Amino acid sequence: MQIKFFYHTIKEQKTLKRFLFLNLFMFLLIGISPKMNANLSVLKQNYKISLSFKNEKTANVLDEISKQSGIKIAYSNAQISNETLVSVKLKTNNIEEALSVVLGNNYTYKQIEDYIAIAKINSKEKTNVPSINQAKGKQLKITGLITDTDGNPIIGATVSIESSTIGVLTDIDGKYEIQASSGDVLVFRYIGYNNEKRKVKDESTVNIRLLESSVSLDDVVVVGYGKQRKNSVVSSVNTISATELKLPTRNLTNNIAGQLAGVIAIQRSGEPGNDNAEFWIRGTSSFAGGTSPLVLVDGAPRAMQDIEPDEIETFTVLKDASATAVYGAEGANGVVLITSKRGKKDKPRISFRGEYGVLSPTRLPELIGSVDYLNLYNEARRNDGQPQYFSDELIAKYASKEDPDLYPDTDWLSMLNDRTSNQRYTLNVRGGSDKASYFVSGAYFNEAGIFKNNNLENYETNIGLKRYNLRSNVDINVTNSTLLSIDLSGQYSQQNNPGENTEFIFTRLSTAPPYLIPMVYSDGTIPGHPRPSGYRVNPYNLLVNSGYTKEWTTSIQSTVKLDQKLDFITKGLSVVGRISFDSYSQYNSERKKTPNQYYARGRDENGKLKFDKVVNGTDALGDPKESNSGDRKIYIEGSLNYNRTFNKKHSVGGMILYMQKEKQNHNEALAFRKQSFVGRATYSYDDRYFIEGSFGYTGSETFSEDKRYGLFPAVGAAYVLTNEAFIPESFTNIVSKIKLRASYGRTGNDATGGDRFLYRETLKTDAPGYNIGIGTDGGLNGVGSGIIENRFAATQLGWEIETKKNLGIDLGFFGGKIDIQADYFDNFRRDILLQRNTLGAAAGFQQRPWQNFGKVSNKGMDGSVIINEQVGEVKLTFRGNVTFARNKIVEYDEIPQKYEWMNRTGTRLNSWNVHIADGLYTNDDFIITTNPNGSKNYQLKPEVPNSSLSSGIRPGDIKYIDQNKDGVIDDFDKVQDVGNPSIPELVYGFGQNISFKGFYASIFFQGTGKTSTVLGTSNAPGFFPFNWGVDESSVRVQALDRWTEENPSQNVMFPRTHSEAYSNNRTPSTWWMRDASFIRLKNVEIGYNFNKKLLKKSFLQAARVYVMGYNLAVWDDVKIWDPEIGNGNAGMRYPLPRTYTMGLEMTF
Amino acid sequence: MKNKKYIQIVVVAIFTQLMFSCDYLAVSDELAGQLTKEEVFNKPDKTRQWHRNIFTAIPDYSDVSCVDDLSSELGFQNPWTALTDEVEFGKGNSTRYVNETGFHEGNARYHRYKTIYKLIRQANIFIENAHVIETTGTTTDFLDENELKELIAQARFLRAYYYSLLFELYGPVPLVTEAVDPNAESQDFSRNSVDEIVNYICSEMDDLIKEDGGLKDIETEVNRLALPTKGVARAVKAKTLIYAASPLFNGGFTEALSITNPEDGKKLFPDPDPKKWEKALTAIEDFINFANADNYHLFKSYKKDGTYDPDQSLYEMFMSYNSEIIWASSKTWFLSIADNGYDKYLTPISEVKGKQNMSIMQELVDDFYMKDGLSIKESPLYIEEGFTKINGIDIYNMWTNREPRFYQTVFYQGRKWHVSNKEINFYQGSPNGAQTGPDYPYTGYLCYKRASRKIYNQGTNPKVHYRPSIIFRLADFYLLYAETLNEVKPSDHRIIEYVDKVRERAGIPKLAVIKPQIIGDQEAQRKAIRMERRLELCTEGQRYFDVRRWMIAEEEGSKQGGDIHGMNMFGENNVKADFYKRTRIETRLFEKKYYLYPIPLSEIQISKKLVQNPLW
Repeated sequence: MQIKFFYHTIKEQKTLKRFLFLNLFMFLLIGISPKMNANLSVLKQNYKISLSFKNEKTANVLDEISKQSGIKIAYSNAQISNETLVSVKLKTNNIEEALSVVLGNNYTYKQIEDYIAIAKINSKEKTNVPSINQAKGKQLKITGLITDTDGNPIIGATVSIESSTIGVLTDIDGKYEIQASSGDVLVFRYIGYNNEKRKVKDESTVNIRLLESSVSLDDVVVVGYGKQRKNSVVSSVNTISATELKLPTRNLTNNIAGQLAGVIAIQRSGEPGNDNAEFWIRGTSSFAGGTSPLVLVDGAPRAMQDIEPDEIETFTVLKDASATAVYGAEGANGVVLITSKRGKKDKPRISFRGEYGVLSPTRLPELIGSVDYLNLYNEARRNDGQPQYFSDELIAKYASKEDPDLYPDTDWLSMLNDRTSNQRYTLNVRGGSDKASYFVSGAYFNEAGIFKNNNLENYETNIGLKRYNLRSNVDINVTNSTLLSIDLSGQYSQQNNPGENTEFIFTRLSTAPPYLIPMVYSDGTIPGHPRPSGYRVNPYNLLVNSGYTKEWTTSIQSTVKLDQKLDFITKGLSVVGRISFDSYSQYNSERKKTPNQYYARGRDENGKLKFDKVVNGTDALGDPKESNSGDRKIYIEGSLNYNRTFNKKHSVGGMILYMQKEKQNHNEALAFRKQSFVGRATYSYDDRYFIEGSFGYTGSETFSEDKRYGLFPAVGAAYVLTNEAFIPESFTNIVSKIKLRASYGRTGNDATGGDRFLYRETLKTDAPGYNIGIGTDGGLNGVGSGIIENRFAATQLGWEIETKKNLGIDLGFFGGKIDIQADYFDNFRRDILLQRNTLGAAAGFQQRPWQNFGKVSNKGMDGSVIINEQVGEVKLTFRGNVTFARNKIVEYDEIPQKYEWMNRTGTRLNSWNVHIADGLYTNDDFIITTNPNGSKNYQLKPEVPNSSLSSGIRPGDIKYIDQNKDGVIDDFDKVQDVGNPSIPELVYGFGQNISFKGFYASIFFQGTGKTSTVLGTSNAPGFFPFNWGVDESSVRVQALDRWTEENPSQNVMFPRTHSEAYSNNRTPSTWWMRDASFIRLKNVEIGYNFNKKLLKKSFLQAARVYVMGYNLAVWDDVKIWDPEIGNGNAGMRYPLPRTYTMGLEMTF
Repeated sequence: MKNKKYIQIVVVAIFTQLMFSCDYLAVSDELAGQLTKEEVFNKPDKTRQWHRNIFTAIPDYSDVSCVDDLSSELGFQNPWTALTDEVEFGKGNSTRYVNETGFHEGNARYHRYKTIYKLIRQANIFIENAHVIETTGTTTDFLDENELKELIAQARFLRAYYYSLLFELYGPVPLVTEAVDPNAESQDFSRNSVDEIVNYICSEMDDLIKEDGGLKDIETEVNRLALPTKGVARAVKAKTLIYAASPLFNGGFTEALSITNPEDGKKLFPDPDPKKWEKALTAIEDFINFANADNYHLFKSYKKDGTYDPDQSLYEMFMSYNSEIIWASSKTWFLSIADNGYDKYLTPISEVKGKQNMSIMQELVDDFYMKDGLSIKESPLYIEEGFTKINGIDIYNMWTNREPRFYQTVFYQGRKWHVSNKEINFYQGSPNGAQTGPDYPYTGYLCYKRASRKIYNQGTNPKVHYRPSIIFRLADFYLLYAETLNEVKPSDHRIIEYVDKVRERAGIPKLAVIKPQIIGDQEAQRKAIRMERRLELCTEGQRYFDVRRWMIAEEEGSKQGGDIHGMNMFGENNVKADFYKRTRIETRLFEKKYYLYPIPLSEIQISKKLVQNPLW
């Protein structure tokens, strides 16, 4: 049984149908007239209905009546076969008349609320047609209750006997009664839910709980410049619903990791306001220019990080050529489409959500205290053949903690709080009428950082972020065929930061020794480094005594869209025009301060500290310094669309579109512009065969006039095997869907990483100049900066091209209980935009000329699976997805390397170029002789490679494999593509939902694989002990796990300690390489949905309470910091947060 | 339906409009007002700005910073003093690593190659495009025939001079004398031979010396002091020919003789030809004659009583522009001590803002003469051990009774710092002793040469003292003259005469007086000249190239590899006495291939035509 409502998108049906059915049922079957709350009878109104059809499906004719009248019509397929063909020619203002002409006289029409319901006259309350072959077994009267997962009765569900025409509908209480014989199979169906089957045994009661189906055949998928029925999609597209995006973070980019097949997302920092995850669709395939996907929000290019998840209707990624070719220029890296919620014709519905979360760092570095620190330094000096630096008596003073001012043991990390909090409130209203519908939403979010505040100051030094979101999406039916949409949205945020930036504070935290100064002297004096410099600082001062900065950002997006149906020209034709105007502005105000700082040299006879002033500062905040930036974007689009089905089986679609857009930065005179012509044609036959062709014809400002436009075509096809007539039902009962997809096409890229108008020559006017005079105080007679050549005109430069192949399969089992989607892709990028490397210097060019060169292949697969299962009252849902992408540089404008292991050609992008460690040098590697004074001389044995990286190699230093066997370790021994790339090749996520009555729980894991990191490659002084000497270092507890003369073990984390930078041991090598893959327990949620029946009595329609844990645990090999940070700043980044959230959601 | 037609028209109109608005993307036409090369050479000020950029690779021998930066070419600074047996730096100065661990053709740091070729292109474009610019209605500025002639002469000079900078480092290189078209089929060049490069430099200099209205004979206006002159052109020519006659380029480097271009088989290094010294002699004689025509003088300063003051002479010579200077750079690293710069590197850290990073090697300390003009081995004045009280401080005898240049160059333990008058010590445990960081004199000596004695970073004392950074000075050429004469005609009396001119200024007895026996003895004279060059020109960036062209880098007394020494900075007991002990500081690396710098490996790899220098 199919129920159809017009003027609804399918998603909206779910919320509507229950209510409607109740009324429909009462009217049709039970005969009780529901209470009417509409003031006006819709049947009595005057309409302009004009019908002219020949052999058209009844459904389409009713559809037309509905459209022309603006009135929704509800009916049941059991009563009206929508396949029946009718011919009608009629003009009337009476809708009842129109319906009668179409349907004949056997029907009755009734208004329910503002709908017209159609029912057959004389239809019995309960259909109970005796079947012809019913004498199979004992006739039983079976009764039962059909409920949804929440235990609410489903009204109007069908219960039928398989392979018969017998069927009944459930009543207002969700109950049914049917005659069946044992051995019959009962089939339970309801739209939007998975079918259930039960074999009749001897029982007389069969209660059924139906599971909501995750994929409905009628689901609509957002695709490039349009929507398609999910069934007819030929390309590789993935969608997640807004529910899965509602994680307790500010930043939407952090919520997609592991959620979508094909998306690789990595979050490197947890700093509020600075925590964007980087993400790529199916990995990267270019070593130059852009690799970021195009992000479109409601069709216009916009940033996604500050969109409130509650505003989102769908989140879609387009992955293959047939999905992205329409984006021509920008499709090569994949496309993200986000649509916001819109109004719907319904009573206003108000939803509120409130959340409170507590955040704590997942992992912070652990540093050793003063005594360990000083002893380790003495050991390092000994290792370097230098005398002890800190005497034992001095170290004893630190150990006794007798005077924390003079002999401090400062734990710099204690300036971070253990926890902080965030809050989120969203309120939205959704509703509409015949003439207009609306979605209005407001949200507030705030989050504080983990820095401590200086209570003495009257300003805030902790990070604090507040964000306000507003959105109003309004659709107006200007005429019956004209839809005008006006969307306005805005984000406003306010942020407070310490005077120094967070990354700098953390970096300095990692180079502040524990023994030198306390955070504050006990008498309140502000300590400073005794030998101050930009890096030799008291990090606590950077945080609490450095002033503050405040930042405000405002983003406003607006869109006006007009959708005009042109059915009077030809049926199925429409024209759409759209203009968006977005503006972004940011203001920054900083008041900095450097305080007077002192260093305690000792105590006087009264025990008072004697101070040296080490930094001449000021007690007052500096004058405010303001800066601002901003941009504005204009997007214009016009399209002509056509969609029609002929002879029931031939569906034809077409679209032709023009768009242009520009982005004007506040400090750049010339706007960034792009222009595209787009077309798409689709054809499908009988929901079995689908074919689609599309193109984008895009222009770019980067190229000269004759190279400016690129054509990016794609074709795709799909075949739904299970819709074939020859597939037996017994097969489709198990395998309900087999759909094969294939696509091929090309997309383009013109991003060069900043350079514009490459077809023009440029000169550099700020090159060095020279004074030709020599005075007594300096050079004389200058003429200003020098002028030199800069870039040559690259008139031959054209588009970077990516060819994408995609093979996909969609599988459904057991009527949608298991849904699988899997894709294999093979992308090949060529003509990569780069500057030639292989040009000799003797030509004297200032800049290497640009050219199209280089090839990269990127292959892999992605897939997802959804399983719905019900065990008794318990509903289980499992979802999982996996993405694997591996690239290879096929051709690179590479200088021929001296040795093949140095070649980049043939390696993977973002891979590591390191020395291969061969353990630590041991005594066996040296000829050791003893000097008369007892000291030892170490002479490397001739067969052991020496290091050119550092002198004074001894046992305990890292030994490397001498690749070229020349006896010396140098750059020629570095190997390309060791381990795995820094961007994971494998990404996956999986989770389980479980619900029982009103309770539900969900758990979600996210993981990456095939990725490596090399410790210490960034912020080396913050990682390697004493790299900048004893005064500018800190040591992690892990560094105590080291080689020593007493314990010359190979099985240690750190090699021999040195008292200063020791290149041999800190050079990137496999010694420091770690597998950076991880599995993270990303989210756990437990909640309760209040029983809707009970709520009915209150003013609430729905209510839910929940608690959520985010980032709860991670399993990995990096261990000393969060593996997702990679090697960033040696782990000294603002930590990723672990969050516990409580929430409440209510709908009125 | 009326509507229908109307809408149809609108739709068609909109689409037609959009489809043909293709010039939407021609945003950059707005840039048409942007500067082009043509415009540069149509505007006098822009032309001059283009021209001035050509000067920017003139070396600055005061800049010893040599930060550890692989990406920039540091060969225009003065890493040379620390790369030879003169000076040692602390960590952070890249020379430190290079001396210890050597380098290969892929990571050599002190290149000049890419920078110079860019400036040669800059000069080529200038020479090909610059023209006379008349005044127009809107601008009064003009570039007349006279100025153009000067500017082109300067550009030609710099182009040839830059080839000499390449030549002294790499030997012969590709000779590119025209601006290369970026769209040309090939931008790949072969190396030219030694003779071709030398001939090119000399013929360019000859042209410039002959030409009227191009270079001036000498410059005396402060506004033009940094410009090249005919005197400088003569100096460059002479020096280039002397290099070409020296063993390294004149058949002495046997491994180089077999180097040929892969493409045309051209032999790059010539077989030995002693006649080249004669050619060199003509050129240096031409220069000396020019100098002696009252154009350049050894700088000398006299006391109030009229007696000669060698100390003052040796010091003041570097403190301001004077007539000994043949050519100097206006760009210097004599910066404010409060920021960075040469003086800061020489100042002990016990004095405010000191960085005490440039230290003199024991080998150079030992080579300085005694005040009697004899070496420490020859002189009876030399006592190494023991102390002499000077101004109330015990000074190690090793450092007493030495020649004035020693005191101008070496700052040793127990000396007093200028202005502050504080005694400076370097032994372990003293304020200027070994630090945990790199800021201490690794040899126990600081360099004092060219340091300003006025600068002091406290009170009202000056923090900065601008001095020209000298490229060529007369003493260098006197000694080159003596060297060349000695190779051509060892009996010539002028050989010792010109060495003695330098010694006299240095305040030590003349060789003619104390060692008359060496006169006419080519080998002994050669040794004396070479030692004089070492002492007179030390730390000025010259010796690195001298030991190479003479090919004596592996000979005893001028060894560039092996152990180097200083005083003992790491006395176990934190007492002064432990300091006075010759101690190995590091073991330096020298391999035969270091005689010529490698062409950057990337260039060899890119090119099908370039051949690498021998042994790399």
